[in-house]
Amino acid sequence: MKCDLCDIAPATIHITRIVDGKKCKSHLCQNCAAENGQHKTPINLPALLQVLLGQNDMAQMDCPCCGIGFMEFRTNGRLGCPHDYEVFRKGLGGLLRRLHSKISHKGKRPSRPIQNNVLSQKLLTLRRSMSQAVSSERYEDAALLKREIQQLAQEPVSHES
Amino acid sequence: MNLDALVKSSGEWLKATGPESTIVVSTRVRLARNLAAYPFTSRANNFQKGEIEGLVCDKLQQIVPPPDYFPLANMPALDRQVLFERHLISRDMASGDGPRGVAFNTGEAISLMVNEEDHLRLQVMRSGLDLQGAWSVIDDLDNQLEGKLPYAFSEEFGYLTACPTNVGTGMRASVMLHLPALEHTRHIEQVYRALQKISLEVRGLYGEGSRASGHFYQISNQVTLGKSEPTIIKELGGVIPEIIRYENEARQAWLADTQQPLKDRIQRTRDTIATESQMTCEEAIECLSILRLATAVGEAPTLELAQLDELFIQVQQAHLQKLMGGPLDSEERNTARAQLLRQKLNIAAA
Repeated sequence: MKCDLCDIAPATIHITRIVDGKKCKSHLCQNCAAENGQHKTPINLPALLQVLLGQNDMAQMDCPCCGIGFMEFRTNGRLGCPHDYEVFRKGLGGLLRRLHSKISHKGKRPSRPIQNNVLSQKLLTLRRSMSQAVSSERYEDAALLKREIQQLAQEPVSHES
Repeated sequence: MNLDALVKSSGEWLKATGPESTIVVSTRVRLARNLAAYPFTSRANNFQKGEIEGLVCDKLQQIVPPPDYFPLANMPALDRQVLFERHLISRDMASGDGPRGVAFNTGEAISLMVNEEDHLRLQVMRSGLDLQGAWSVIDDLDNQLEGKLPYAFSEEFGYLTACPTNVGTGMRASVMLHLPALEHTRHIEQVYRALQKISLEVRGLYGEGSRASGHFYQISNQVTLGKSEPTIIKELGGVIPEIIRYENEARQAWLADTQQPLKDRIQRTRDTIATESQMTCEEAIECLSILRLATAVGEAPTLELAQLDELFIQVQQAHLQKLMGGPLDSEERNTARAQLLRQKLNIAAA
């Protein structure tokens, strides 16, 4: 079917109107429909893809400290370590809003200095490495990691970074 | 502290001495806390769980007064079940494995689970309606511990927990109510729906996933992020007096009802206890619930609320077996339960 207006391009937009109780149909091509203000906003494909890719990013994301994947968290409902709140921030925002309506803390806070985030993450990563070393029977590596963990854990606490 | 001796009485929070005890059995506030440099419990291996247990136990000795710690890893299943029935540990903790345990003080008003879903679950129980009192005690305990243990905390999200439903304050405040009259008039559904609309949760006798047996309902906050602890306490505390008022009105209406008189129901309950040679836990709890109501409205002058509340715990299977001195099969338990009720309530067998 050709466009009712230009009679050249194929009609891809079909409009039905009721005028004085009678049904009027018109068939327009994309250009004529746009010129006559009948063209709907096209789907923003790049934006849609970005959203889909964003979810895909989350689906493939693992925490470098504890190794849990975002999809594993979605399946079990339990996070793997405190650092996951930072790693999965993008995926958790909507969930926290649905659960609590708000997403920022208003309650009490520890009065003493909080353990340095970088130090906590380092210790989490080392503990995971040590666990992997034991599992694969690399006991010398595990012993070295244990010593490193013990030394780091003795470091004095400092304010949150 | 000896677990065998524990089963002979209830914790001090179950003595019906607190405000509104005729309807409010107890108030509980718990805080979820985690150590910053360890994976959450479900992700931690036994070595890491053992380190956490050792670290926490060491610091607990510095609390004044220090609570007794009970490791669960090698504890017999029956003893773990006793702790669960006394509301000192969760069902998951009773059936789980690996290094984990619970610390509590003599009256069981303060307890602390180690390596539950979160590394630490602090709990304070009070008799009757006393949210402010419970919050004050747990806040103090938390302050003592935070000075000794590096908590996982973020300025943005608050106390970081294994499940995002607890993040922020990590606090769950709950009030256990006995609402037999609202259940009798079937208004409990309306209460349930109204509470859900204001983000309060209704659970059964043993919390998450448990049924409302014995007409007991636990009402607690759902939201833990974006509200301060005093705000959560205030909001929950503002609702409870209304429910108490509805229950009291329903009790008076039931007393005045000539079609299904409450007095008849109470007498039938006494007859059941006198005649049944065996009783399941569910049947015993139903009987005790009616007698609790009878006591609260002055229709059972020889009984006391504390005595009945203690029996709600003692008729459960692990307590019953401990009281009888050894393992019993299902039929033996049902016989022992029926006898225990008659003996403790001073009702002669018919």
